[in-house]
Amino acid sequence: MSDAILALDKVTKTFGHGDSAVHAARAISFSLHAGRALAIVGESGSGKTTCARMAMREYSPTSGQILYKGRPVENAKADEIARYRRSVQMIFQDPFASLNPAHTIAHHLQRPLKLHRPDIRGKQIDATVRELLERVKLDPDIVAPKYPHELSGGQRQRVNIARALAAQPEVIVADEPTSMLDVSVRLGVLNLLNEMKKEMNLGLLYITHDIATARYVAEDIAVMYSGQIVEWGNTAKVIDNPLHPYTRLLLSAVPDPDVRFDDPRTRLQPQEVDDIRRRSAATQEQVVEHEPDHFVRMV
Amino acid sequence: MVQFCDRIGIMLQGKLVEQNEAEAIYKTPQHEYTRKLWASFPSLHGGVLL
Repeated sequence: MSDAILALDKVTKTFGHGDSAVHAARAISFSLHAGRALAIVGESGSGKTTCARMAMREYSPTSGQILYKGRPVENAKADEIARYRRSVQMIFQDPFASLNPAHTIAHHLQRPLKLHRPDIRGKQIDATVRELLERVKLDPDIVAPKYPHELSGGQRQRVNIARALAAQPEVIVADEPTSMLDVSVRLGVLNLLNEMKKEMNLGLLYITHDIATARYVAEDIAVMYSGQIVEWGNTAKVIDNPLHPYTRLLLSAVPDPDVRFDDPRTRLQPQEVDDIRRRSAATQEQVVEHEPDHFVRMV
Repeated sequence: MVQFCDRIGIMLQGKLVEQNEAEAIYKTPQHEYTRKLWASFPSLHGGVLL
């Protein structure tokens, strides 16, 4: 594997103080590599978005370090921070709220070009906007002059991807990029992310609660619960052979068309579920490497 | 859907193109569009459903 572009090293984030403190991230470590995707999965409140926001430098960690190409970003100089911001781009969950309703799609794509790409000016900007839209499989003649409300959710998310690509990033952080899309267009967006990752050698941090899409997109997976990564490694190994009780619980909640909800054999008892949650929320220091590239915290 | 409903109807451009028992719609889809719809669900076991 190539060297990590972006890495979190034992990063902790605590909100609030004393009794009301929320430990949103506890000793989180992971790294992103060129041409590979890491999926962070977990339920609402597990801390996955906190991780994404720390990777974006939107939150600063309470303790631990964020490393960009091996160098801590904490004390970086202004020009290094500018380079980091260019290099790490984000795709948001809500394709409706993440575009400005008062501006055309062309405007949305010109802005990052003007800000991050001093090498292109004047007519080249319009040519690059066309190129970006073609890259995400939108027709520039039709889409560029339109306003966000004239596009569908899937089209808007493609515009968001084009906008992220405009800065020529090395890492893309995608926080639930398909959870607000119709199922029939979701796969198109996932395929596009996969293609970008391979063709442009991007490192992708894919945050989701949908394990099936994580398997579709990501080579590596980290399962989070209560601010802790409880199990991680190769995606297929973790999903096919889940070891941590919380990973099993999460997998049991994935809808499976072969099993009906009213089938009593598939139903976990509420006290069992509570017990798993209680045990998984405790700090677990001991990590076991069950097989190469498959790690689990001991409960 | 298949887990929750007894019968499922598939709509395309204002028309109900197929309706059947939930399990039959999933296991033996008749309409091309139904097949395509299933193929747009990523599967937990890798690839897509169907």
